[in-house]
Amino acid sequence: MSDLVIILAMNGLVWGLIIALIALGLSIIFGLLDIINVAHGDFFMVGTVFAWTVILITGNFWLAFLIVPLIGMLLGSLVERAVIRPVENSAALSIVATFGLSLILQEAVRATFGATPKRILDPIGVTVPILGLDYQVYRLFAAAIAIAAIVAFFLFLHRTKFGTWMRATRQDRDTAIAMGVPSNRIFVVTFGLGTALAMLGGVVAAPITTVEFRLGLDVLPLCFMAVIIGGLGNLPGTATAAVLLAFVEGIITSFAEPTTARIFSLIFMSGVLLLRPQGIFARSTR
Amino acid sequence: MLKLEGLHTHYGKSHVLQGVDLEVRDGEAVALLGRNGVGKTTTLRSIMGLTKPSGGAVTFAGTRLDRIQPHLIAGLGLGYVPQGRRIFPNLSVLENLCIGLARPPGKAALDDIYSQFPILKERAGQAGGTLSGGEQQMLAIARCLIMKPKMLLLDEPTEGIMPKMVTTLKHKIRAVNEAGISILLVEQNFVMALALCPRIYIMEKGVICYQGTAQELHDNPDIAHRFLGVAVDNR
Repeated sequence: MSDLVIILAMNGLVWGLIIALIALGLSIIFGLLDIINVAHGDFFMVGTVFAWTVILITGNFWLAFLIVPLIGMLLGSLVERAVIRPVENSAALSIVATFGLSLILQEAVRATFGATPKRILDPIGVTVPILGLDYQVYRLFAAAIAIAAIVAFFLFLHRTKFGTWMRATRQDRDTAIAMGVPSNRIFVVTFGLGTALAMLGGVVAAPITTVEFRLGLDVLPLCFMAVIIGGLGNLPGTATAAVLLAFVEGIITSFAEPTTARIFSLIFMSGVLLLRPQGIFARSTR
Repeated sequence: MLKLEGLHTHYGKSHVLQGVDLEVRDGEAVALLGRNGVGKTTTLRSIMGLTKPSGGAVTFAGTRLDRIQPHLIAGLGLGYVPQGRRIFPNLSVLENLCIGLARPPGKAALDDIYSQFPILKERAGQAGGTLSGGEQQMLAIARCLIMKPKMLLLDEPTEGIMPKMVTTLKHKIRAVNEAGISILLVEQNFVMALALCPRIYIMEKGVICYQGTAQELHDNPDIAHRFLGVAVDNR
């Protein structure tokens, strides 16, 4: 029993880091563009499908880490121009537009990739003993990649000119434009980056989940909960909340149904919304 | 330098600017006065392209501003100091200062700004939101000056600033103008506007209703009384 708790807690932690990666994408898109991107989970799903496709074509899973985020950047930029730009400044319309996008992505994958869930073999295929238990090395690798990507993302945001422009645009779009910040380019890149994060999450998660067209539906609620609990637009809060949620759900799953774990998360989120609607990690002064 | 011809701007259905004509010549300091809500801030926002004009023309240094993308306007040499200063609260003072520059500034450019605004050097690493109102105003002006503008638009720079700082600000703005940078100043502080700007426009209900020199306004207190509802102290 206690073995199972440890394994599931560790799985929860790994999964939480992947969710954090995806939720960060969701959060920057919301924070900067005021877009509630309901299709974000489907971009994650498309990431897993592309990982599968890369293996199919090249026989090399590791290439997917390079190729898929680039495709994500491109796809996201395209979607920003075609789908998001026309509904700019309307959060309500953005839900409708991205819901349509979500259906298109799901059905496109079902039509091409098929409806049958597929599995990707453990690309490392080695286990290490941790606390007397054999644990998949790939899961540790997945956690490391997720952490590295999250750190790289924050460095980009705080150490580069473009990152500073993104933060400035988020805080005050008009003033940023008046100071010469190319806001249209910022929006395209932000949506591209958010999509790339979701699809990178897809590649990382592909070998530890099943690959199928409905996968996004599973991930999206967890991402939204992380964004809400962490505080809208609060990126470190979102990442922390994602890890915490998945970790706790993992532990609960060891002695109860996964549905019970999700119920617990939802109750927790409702509590946060009632008591601290600005998120549990929000600074009290803002 | 800057010319507005028949400028119209709508906010939704309300017709805020109803044909504004205004001109600021090279090196000139001009004030735009008027009661609250007559369209002064909208005029500046329309010049910067933040509120799209629905008619008329804005020309700056030979370029039609109403025909280009708003983010390109700053690069033409037009600096904007918005009402309420609008410092990015979570960016550091240095990040705020350099926001309009594509590349990090050279040491000389930074030293030049710091010599004019020493307080910004002291606070460089602090978040912009932690500065006092007066310090934020200095920063709002400095982040335009570092881009070497030809002209500054200033929207109520003394609003909500403590009296001691107002005098300092007045000197800074005068120094900017004396360095050859044209100024269009929107102010509620009538005395300060008259002291800084030799030429005055007064707005009412979305149009310019009076233009003249500061001297004329000074000599005819009834004009100020009629359009602005202020009494001019003629000592």
